[in-house]
Amino acid sequence: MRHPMRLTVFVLGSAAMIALYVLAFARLPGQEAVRGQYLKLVNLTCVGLRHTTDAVTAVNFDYRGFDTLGEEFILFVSVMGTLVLLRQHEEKGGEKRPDAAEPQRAVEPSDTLRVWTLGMTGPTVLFGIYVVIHGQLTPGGGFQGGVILATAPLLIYLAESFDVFKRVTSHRWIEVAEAVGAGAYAAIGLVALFVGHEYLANVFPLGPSGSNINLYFGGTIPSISAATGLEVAAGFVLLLYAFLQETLASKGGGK
Amino acid sequence: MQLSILLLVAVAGGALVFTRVADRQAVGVSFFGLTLTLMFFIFQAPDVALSEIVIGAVALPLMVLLAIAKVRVAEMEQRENREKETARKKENEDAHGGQGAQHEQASIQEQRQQAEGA
Repeated sequence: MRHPMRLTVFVLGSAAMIALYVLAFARLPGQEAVRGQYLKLVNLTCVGLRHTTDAVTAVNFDYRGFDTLGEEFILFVSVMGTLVLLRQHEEKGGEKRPDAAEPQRAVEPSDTLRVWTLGMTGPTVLFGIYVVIHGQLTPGGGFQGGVILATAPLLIYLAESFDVFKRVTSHRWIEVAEAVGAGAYAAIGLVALFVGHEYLANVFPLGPSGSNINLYFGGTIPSISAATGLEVAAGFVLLLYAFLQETLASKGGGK
Repeated sequence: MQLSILLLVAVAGGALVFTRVADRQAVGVSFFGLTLTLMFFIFQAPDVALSEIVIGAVALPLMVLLAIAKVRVAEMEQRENREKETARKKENEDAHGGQGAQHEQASIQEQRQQAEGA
């Protein structure tokens, strides 16, 4: 009896939704009209005033650096929250079964997979670092490169075992690296205050003008990008470690 | 080009919505991330495309898969515990029932003896 009623409400609601959606889209300005003054200004000024060629990274880490600081701390806090939740359970479980068997896989990885994945680990790390440090020149930056870096230990887990993954990732300094990465962003912003500018102003040397723009140009942008890369990579590795530990350890203990 | 990628995103997104099995959803979300990456790239946003490919196509499905594995393990443990408990209860009941039967037999014997004595 309730089902047809629910269906009618849904159909009426979605019909109204579609009608409004189409109406709203019909009124949208064309593709060219969207490009407002802000976009033009950023495109004009990012090479001259900031000595960078990637406008998106310039906006992220310089023009709108404060917004990105907030974004970075969203990530930081969510990683912390997940770790706190997972670790609590881990400690409880650890006391209950101190002799939990080491988790074994149902299927051992084949030689082809192992050789290929281990071979990919080095290039992945290199590519991650490349994306992090070339953020101001080409598309990329700290966030993207950081996640690429964090997939390298995952490749090791796929090719080897959780033990090897643990040996690579369970160091105390990964936690330190995450904290340092997040703190360095805020600290770079503070440097500007000491020189007498507003918070997160680009006060580092931009590089000589007139010469070809290269890796070391852009003032605070490469430094902030590197700090973000460190934070994101370490945060994701911690997250992966906690999830894998939680899943595999309880599986080993359950049997 | 732009229209076809939008259609692809729409089809992939629609298919994902109608997928009801969780593991398939994890694989589907990865494919959906890939189509979104293509869309961002074709609409001239390579920075967003890079973010999307590492988060949407790799990190998100991985987290979903790990969460599913975690839930399954927890469910398995719960079921095992429940089975153990029911088994224990059954054993207790059996033991109890056995004693009851012995009692009955004993009382029957007593009654018989009493009857014989009388």
